[in-house]
Amino acid sequence: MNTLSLKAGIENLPVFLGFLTHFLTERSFSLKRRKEIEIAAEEALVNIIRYAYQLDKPGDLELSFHDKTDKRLEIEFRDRGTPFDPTSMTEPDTELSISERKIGGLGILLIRRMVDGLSYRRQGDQNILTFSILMPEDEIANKKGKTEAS
Amino acid sequence: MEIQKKKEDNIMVIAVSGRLDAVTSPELEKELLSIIAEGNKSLVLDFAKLDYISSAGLRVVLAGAKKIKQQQGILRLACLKGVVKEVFEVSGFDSIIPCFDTADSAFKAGS
Repeated sequence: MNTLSLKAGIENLPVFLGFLTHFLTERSFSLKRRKEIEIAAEEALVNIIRYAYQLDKPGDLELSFHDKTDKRLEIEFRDRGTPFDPTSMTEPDTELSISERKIGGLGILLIRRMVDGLSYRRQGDQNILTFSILMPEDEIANKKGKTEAS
Repeated sequence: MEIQKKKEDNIMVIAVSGRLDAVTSPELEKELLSIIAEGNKSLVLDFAKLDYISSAGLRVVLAGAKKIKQQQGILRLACLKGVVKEVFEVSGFDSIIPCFDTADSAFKAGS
């Protein structure tokens, strides 16, 4: 089961993140890497939960995992809400003082730093945000060893 | 998430453990604002046992830092580690809010 589709509500955030952590643990990601990816995923999920749909009409949010190659996997977020491309957001100025500092844009900044690749596309009525994640080194080595042995 | 408060020599140390995410952050925000409303001017947020923080958590820390500054008080951070430290570095928050290695050194930094 590599896909989870639920209502885009904040009450479902822990369910989505639990599903992600379970998947990443199975793929032997380190605890540090799992947390980094979880933070990026939380930012993407919360963004959809808060802004994709009108409050009185929450729609669905779909989280899915795709093994692209032995070295890379993709994590995909789909919704049918307002068209929104998070990759077009400008990053906040991290040099400002406490009083000048605004909170907006921090989510996208964290996503960019924690994932290995980020892309957005609008397909029909769907927003599709994709994280590209490099597999852990030892998992790649392990798979390679198995292929060579067979 | 769990919040423990301890007041010593007029400094309020708030130890937060567990996760500071979009679900749990409002609870810390409420607690911080009420601590500030009570007139406390020297706060230390002790993150020694914090395992996880997202932008929702950063938002609360920034809101607290801004609020206490308006009251001529100060908010310090202690014991950032692992992914929590990384999130503060990436966001640049580690350079706008004073960070210390231990709650004790944050405490002794003077007011």
